[in-house]
Amino acid sequence: MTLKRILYVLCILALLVGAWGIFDRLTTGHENAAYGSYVVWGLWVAMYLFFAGVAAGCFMFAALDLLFDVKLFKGTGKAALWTALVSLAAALLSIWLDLGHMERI
Amino acid sequence: MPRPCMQCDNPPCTPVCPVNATYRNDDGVVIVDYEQCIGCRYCITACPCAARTFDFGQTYTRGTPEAAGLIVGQQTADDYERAPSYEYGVEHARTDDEESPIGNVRKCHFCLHRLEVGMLPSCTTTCIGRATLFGDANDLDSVVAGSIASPNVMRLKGRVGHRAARVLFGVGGRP
Repeated sequence: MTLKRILYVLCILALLVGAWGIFDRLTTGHENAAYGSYVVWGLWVAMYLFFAGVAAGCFMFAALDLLFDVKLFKGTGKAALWTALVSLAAALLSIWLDLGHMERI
Repeated sequence: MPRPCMQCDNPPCTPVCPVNATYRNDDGVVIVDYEQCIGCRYCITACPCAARTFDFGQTYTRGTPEAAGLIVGQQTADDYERAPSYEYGVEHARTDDEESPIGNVRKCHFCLHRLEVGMLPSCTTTCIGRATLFGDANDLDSVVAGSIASPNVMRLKGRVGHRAARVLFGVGGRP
């Protein structure tokens, strides 16, 4: 029970840090990332690739259970699908926040 | 060495655009549609000549102290940086509301708005060393046709295969 509470507190702290980051992105743009002509991409694109990769991998593992009925992965299909969905949303959000004109998507 | 856009015949920067905002127009000039560009900066990474930049909406004068005097000062410099440009024949003001061209990729467009009215590109008229020449290489009477025949001529990154339309000359390359 205490472990669960600690994890919740950690999650809320991480969300607060993330909210501050989003606020910074929306108010000052890419200024604090200090991109230039030679380094034009940063953490947003890295996060997009990471989450897109996680989503693709989870989808593959979901298919191992739900589609091919592999015994080793029995029962993990739903959790894997859910993780894939959440990761995909995170990936699209990351790449969206990287754009210069977010309203054009 | 100035390194403007080479206006490639086979530009590597245009196929990567996810919204087809940058393309080679009928005159062979690689242009950016400011109303279409979403600012993903993919074309900057694809350009072999590093000729593209992103407009982050920043000004050099931000945070500099206000200087005394009426002619030169932070205010004047800031006004100069925010003065509208007439790229592609449209007035583009760099205001604080983050409208285009802020948030867009920008590049040399061969001064299309000047060429249309018969003027030379700004880089050609302002170069104090007269190092920049402009003309039709296929027209044998033009100044660039003579220069391009020089043995000192050099194509930048010729091995990449983008076939630059613009060429650079070595020292003493001009006839």
